[in-house]
Amino acid sequence: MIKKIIFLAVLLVSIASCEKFLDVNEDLDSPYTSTPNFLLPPVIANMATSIYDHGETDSYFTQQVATLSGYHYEKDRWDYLKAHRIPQWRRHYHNISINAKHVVQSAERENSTNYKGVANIMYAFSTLTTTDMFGDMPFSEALTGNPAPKYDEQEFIYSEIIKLLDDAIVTLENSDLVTCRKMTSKEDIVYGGDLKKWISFAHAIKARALLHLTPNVNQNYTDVIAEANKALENWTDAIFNYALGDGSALQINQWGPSKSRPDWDYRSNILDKSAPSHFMLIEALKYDEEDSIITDPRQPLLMKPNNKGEFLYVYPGEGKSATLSETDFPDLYNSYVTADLSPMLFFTREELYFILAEAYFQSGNSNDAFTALTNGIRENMIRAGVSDSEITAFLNGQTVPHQSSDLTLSDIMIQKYVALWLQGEIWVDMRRYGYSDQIYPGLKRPKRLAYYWDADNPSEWIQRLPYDTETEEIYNKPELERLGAYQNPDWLKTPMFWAK
Amino acid sequence: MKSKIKSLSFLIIFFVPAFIFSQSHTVEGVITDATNGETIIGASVIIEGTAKGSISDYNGYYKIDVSGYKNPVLKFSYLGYNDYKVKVDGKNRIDVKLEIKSEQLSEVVITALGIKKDKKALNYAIQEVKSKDLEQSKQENIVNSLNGKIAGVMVTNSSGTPGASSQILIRGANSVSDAVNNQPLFVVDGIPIDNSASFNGGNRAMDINSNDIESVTVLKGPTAAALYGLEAANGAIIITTKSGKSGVTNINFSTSLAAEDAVRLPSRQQSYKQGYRGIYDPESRSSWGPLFTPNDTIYDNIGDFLKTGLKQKYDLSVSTGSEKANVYISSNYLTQEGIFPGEDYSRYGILLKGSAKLNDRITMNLSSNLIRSHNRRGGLGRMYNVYNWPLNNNMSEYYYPNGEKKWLIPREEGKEWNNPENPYWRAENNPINDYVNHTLTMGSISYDITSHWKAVYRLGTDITNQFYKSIISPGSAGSLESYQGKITEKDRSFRKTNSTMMLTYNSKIFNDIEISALVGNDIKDEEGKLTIIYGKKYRNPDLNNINNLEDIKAVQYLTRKRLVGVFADLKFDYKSIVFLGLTGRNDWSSTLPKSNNSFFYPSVSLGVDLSRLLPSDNILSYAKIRGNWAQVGKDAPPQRLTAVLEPAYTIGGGFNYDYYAGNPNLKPETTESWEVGTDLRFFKGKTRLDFTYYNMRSIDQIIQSRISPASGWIILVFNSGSIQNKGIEFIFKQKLIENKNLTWDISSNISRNVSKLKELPSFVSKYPVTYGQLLNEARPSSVLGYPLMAIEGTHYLRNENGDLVVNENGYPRIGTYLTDSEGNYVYDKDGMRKIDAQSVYLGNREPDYIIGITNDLSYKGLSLSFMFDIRVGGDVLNLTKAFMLSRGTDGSLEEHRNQSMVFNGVIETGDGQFEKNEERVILNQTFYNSYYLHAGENFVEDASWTRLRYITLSYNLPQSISKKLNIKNLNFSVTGRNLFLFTKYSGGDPETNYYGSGLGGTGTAGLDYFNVPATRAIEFTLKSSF
Repeated sequence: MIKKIIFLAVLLVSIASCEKFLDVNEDLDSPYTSTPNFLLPPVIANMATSIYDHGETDSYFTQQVATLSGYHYEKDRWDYLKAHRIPQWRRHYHNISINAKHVVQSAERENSTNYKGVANIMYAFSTLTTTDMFGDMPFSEALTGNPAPKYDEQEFIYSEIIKLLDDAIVTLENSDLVTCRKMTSKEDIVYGGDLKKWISFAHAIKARALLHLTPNVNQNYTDVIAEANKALENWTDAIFNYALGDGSALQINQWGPSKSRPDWDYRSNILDKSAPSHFMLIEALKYDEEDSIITDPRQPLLMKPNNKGEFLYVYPGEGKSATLSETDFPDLYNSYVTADLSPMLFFTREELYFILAEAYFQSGNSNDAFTALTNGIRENMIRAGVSDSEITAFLNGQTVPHQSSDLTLSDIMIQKYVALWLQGEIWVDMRRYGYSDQIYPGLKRPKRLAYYWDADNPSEWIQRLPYDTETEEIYNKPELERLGAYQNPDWLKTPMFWAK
Repeated sequence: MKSKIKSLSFLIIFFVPAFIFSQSHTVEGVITDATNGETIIGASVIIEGTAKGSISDYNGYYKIDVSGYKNPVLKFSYLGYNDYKVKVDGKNRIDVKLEIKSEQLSEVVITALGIKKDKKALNYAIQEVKSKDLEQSKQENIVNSLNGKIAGVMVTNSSGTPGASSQILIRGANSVSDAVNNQPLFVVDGIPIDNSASFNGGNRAMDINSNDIESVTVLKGPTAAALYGLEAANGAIIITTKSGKSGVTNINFSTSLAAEDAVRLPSRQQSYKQGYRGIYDPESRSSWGPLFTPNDTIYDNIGDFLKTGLKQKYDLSVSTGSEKANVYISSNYLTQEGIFPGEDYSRYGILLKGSAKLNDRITMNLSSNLIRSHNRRGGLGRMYNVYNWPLNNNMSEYYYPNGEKKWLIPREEGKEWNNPENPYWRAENNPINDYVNHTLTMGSISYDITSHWKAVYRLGTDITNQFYKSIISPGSAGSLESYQGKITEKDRSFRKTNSTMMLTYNSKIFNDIEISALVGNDIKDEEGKLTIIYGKKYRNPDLNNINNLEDIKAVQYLTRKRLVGVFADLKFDYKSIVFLGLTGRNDWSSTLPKSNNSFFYPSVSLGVDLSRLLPSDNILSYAKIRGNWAQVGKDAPPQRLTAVLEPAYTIGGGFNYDYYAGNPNLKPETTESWEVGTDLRFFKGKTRLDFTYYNMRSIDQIIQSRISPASGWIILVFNSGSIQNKGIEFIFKQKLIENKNLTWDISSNISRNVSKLKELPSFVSKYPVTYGQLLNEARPSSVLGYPLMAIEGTHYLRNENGDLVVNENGYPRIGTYLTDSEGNYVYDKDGMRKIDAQSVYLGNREPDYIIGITNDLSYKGLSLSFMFDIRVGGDVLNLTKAFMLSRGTDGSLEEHRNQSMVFNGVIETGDGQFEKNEERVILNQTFYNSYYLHAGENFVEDASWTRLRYITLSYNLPQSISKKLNIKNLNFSVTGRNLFLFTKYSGGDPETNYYGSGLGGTGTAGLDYFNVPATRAIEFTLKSSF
């Protein structure tokens, strides 16, 4: 009997000390939070990857490049019904935005408004590039751990982006660097903590966003021009410099010949299995294929000819002839954006010039448009490595007008097309102008589109990507059904609210 | 109190007759076991026909007063022995030898917590396999030995690689999430052990030497395992190792030699060479080239590559014992060469066991099992290049005469890595070496406090240290990174400590009711550490050491988990006619939120032995019906309640969020089950039928689901969803012949489990298996409303009449016609129906029936034993075939390639109208790659099989001869394993598991992707005992 009592007593005591014994669920490997200087770098680095991802998808739609096989489901046939994964989605929300939000939370705890402003600019920038690809997407309910947030309208998201940028500009203008945590080139690889440059970048993004609304939503070129000029006042290119990396798979430019694919959810480039399209080489670069005359001095800097000195192209969707091999086509590697250590370009000076050129032109000011166009071409050629004499020769040559009265919108848009090589922004341009044959003469749809693209309607172009099939179709299906985006090929044909 | 009543009644009975009969008469004696002479403690002695009785003490000594009884007859009884009756006849001393009950009528089985019980007293499904049954199959992995032997159990061996893991499921799977384990708990000598499989290697229970196992008891449903708590939510496998026996000294030595080769290979076309679209292209990885001409050499790349594997095993054990102590020491050495070049597995083990009686009441046990193993193997999917290598190229020539590596496709220097890897080169230069040091140590003390009370304490710890090294030598194919060389080292240590304290009470109340009660306490502590070092870019091309790499990174993962439980078990036995059992357990787990980390679950069971109520006859000797209901829980994976950061390896470093969102509101999963069954024995036990029906529901599934990344994270852990499993188990045993020279026994197990994923969170309709996503068009998954172990994918478009719908060129279309919420078809502006291209349920990887039939025959010294293993139904996703087709190498292309056909289908003309298809298509590369391969249903195959799992012929040297050799016993045997496999499956052996048994959820059993083929073998064994 006494034994029983002792036993029970021991049991009760052991249950009480149970609590402490069981308190071992804390994670021993990883922290739950940190200070903003540790949280900001991945936001910027992942943005660089996102820019690559956008370019890698969009530059085939814009036909800067085309595949040599002609077989590629997504790039040649615009068939996304079978797509396994659309990485830009997760890159924006999980790799960039939730971490940018964490930077803001961490910065607010210690009142480091510099970090807060920079993080919000990155968030706005990523939201812009992402909505330009997908359209409506979660915003107000996003990033809260809510497993299936509702989708907001793109128009609303655009107004929120402008708001974020305006607030960030004010925040940064009022940042007291004495009380804020230091931001150096270690934390901020783009601008080394120089807030004035971030403010210029914010203006540039605003200019881009406002330009997108033209000419279809409004014709407010005044604000576009104002923002672009404000940015140019104190402009340094926003680039991500891979030369500062250690050469590992995550720290080299994915456009490079190493075809880096650091992990399962990255996509390596297929430039070795691609070639410039007919439109790029013949219509945009104005290569004379009959007499093998190079018109645009950037051409040999963007692509190397084969060992016979030839520059060959393909038509999208056709693929190369069976008698030719991959090595017969230009080598697209090791140009100013396709080397392992090339920088990733977030926003360049020449883009600002092209924005100005288009805005001035559309508002009737062809003189300023012409100046901006010339500046844009020059900036880009310098970046590509063209010599001064060649630049001058090109500007005086047949490809571009010599005076503002001869200027057409097509001149501007085609030159922007060549300048923004492998960048996603060109796809926005094309959609704003409805892939017009007047702006982009000679542009035709790929040959063998999937069956749900109307073969008899040459103006039926791809307008957007479907939502990430790997996750949204499964985990947020009701929202997709509400929008009419669920497994619906017509969704890909639906123009953005700013497209024609 | 009751004993007081007894003593009082003794006195009354004693005194009253004392006045009538003046004499007193006492009988005393010793009760022993007739076979081995051991004294029997606690045997009951009753004066027949009365309530008067006594019990034998620690020396087997009893004393009973029979005064006043006319012609008293004493009845002696003890659990497991036949009752013995004897007339007193005036004697004062009667020593009794009790005979062990023949196996036909009673079985003592080891139940939960190591308690021995007569099977007849149990009210739940439980099945046992003895060592001689385990030995016949000659399987080194204990899990494989259970294949076909236990009703309700599905065993899937992963592949033919030596040291491969094997997965076991009892009554299906009841958790859908990858992160939750569905395999039963393994318990060895009372201590729960770890059976995980790391790095696609073997499962830890396979470290235990089969020859050391005395018996394996399988506890199938939650009732049987309710006392083990949440680790046994999927059942429990109780392993008891051999022990020394008192008075017997044995030295056993055995050796085996086996040869094995592949049992079945997928078929490969032998007619077309390397190329693309019918043209020979030396730069192609595919075999879509032209036909071989008569002058071409066709190399037998696959046949030359796979070889015969040899296995050797040596066992030496010594067991001895006395009344006070016994000892069992065993050592074993196994070495096995695989059929895939460069693969082998070797294992050394020592088991030391001792048991000692410290005094009459206290017994101590100590055991230590030390195992060391090494496995050399290749990476996942390594048969890919073996099957796909173009036959116009000699795969075995992978070096030039000057020693340089020879590549299939000529490339410029530095870019050769853009090539398929030569399998020979890979086997030689890119091995995985996996070393395991596994120690299982256990100690226990049992203390017989009184004849009713007993206390047991057990403490055991399972420690694994595993070291894994994967080398990708410089010059490897795949990517620039592989070409520069990579090494990955993984260092894993895992400790699982268990402490169990139990107090039991056995007694009789109201004379007819035997009661046994148990209370106990469990404390579990687990700790794991995994350190991964990976390096890239070799400096010196020949040094396979991490120090030699330029770019080295390390990461570490730590886990901790603790559990405290209290439990109680109450059993009532009324005259061995009615049996009632109750259990209750409460667990506290460290992985659940502190505010809500406790949960309680009970079980109740009832059984009635009808044969005792009916007059005994020679036909029906035993008829028990039983039923039970139980609940059991499962807790969350550790460290999942809060989101954490991980270091970023991008430029600038820093931290970013890793995949998991946190969830502070997590609850345990609960499974509720009920079961009914019957155990019937006929003809004095010659015929046995055991039937069970069960129905289980698992709710609050701990789902580790991917969610929309728009939440900010990729994965969230939360509770939602339910699964149902119901089924039947049927066991049939028959002694066909039993006479002096010849015996023939048949034993068969038939089981059927039907599962259904009944509920999932509203935003989830599918739950794909993360590590099975190799092809967009079909993957292992779970789909709402369908059996749990499903295959999900795309299929050809069909209309409401079941007609195949093709496009205007005659090619089949993919998808399902889209319907709105009212079930009407949705049309586009051209009048054509819209398509839902989403993947759907395609098949069930769990068989409809699992049947195992074992025959045991013996004639004098010869014995023959063979087992047929039959699976009816069950699908396998044949991705090996899918990828071989995409490369133009699959055997079906011999017949079909370049044939033209008109698909028997219809073309949609618009507005719901169809016309018959007349378009002819050619079955060429375009067809296969652009159409056939996009319907995942083309790769879901019925994997029904009939297999001769093993056949063993053995001969025991007659005693007369072995005595002359001074040997106690000598036995020769030859076994054929997997000699015969009949199946319609078009690939290799349909029993396959791509990733191995280390996955939770439904895993990748039934996913066929280029695993090393399963083997068949012939094995010779010599066993001797001295």
